[in-house]
Amino acid sequence: MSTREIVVLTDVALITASVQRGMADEIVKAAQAAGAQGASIHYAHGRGVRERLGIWGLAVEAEKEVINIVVSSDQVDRVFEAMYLAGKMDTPGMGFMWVTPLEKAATFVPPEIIARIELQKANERQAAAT
Amino acid sequence: MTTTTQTGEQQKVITCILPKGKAMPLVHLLIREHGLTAVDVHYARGVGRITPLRHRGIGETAEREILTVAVPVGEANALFADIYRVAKINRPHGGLMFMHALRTATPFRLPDLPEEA
Repeated sequence: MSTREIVVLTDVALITASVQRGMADEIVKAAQAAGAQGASIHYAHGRGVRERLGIWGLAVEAEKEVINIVVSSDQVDRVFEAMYLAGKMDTPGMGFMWVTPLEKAATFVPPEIIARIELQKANERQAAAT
Repeated sequence: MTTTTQTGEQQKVITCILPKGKAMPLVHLLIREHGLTAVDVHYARGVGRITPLRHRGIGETAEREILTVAVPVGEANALFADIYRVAKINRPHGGLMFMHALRTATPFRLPDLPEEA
């Protein structure tokens, strides 16, 4: 039986934003400036607001970019706000975004970071015991 | 008219953001070995602070495959661990995976059909 451990991240959330095509890079840059590590972007076709805006709907691109960013729970509000402002989400037709709480996530975590976390936990345990 | 919605057993969704070429072997594993039927792959570009292509000076974007699979709640943790191992997530540039619960999901049961060659 394998004894390899899975390093699981908890307290993480997924921010998803559906925006007009061409907007994603700018929004991702803002998210990274606010602390996000990375993002994945894929294309989609959107309908809804575009039709309801009437003649103004012509200014809304039907081709969409969907941005997915995983961030820790303590960063989520800051990153969400940065993305909201960069994407001008308060303007009708610019897009919409939402946050999904995640149960757990996993990725490559460098051993030195794991060692640092374990050391920190050991110190906390020691401080609690004394 | 009355409509009946079948919701079946509780499920969770596991999503993997993988390097190019890693998703399809995983799809085959999930379908053939675990009997899962709600498996989806789509393509995306990944933007990160550190990506494999950064040293080439062509920006920090790399092609990604995103695998999404709905799994029964009871098997979710075991499948998460299996996917983690098979997809080699715990390697530099190995990708990212995450899991979350669903409120409702439709069951997707295939009839007994002979396997195609």
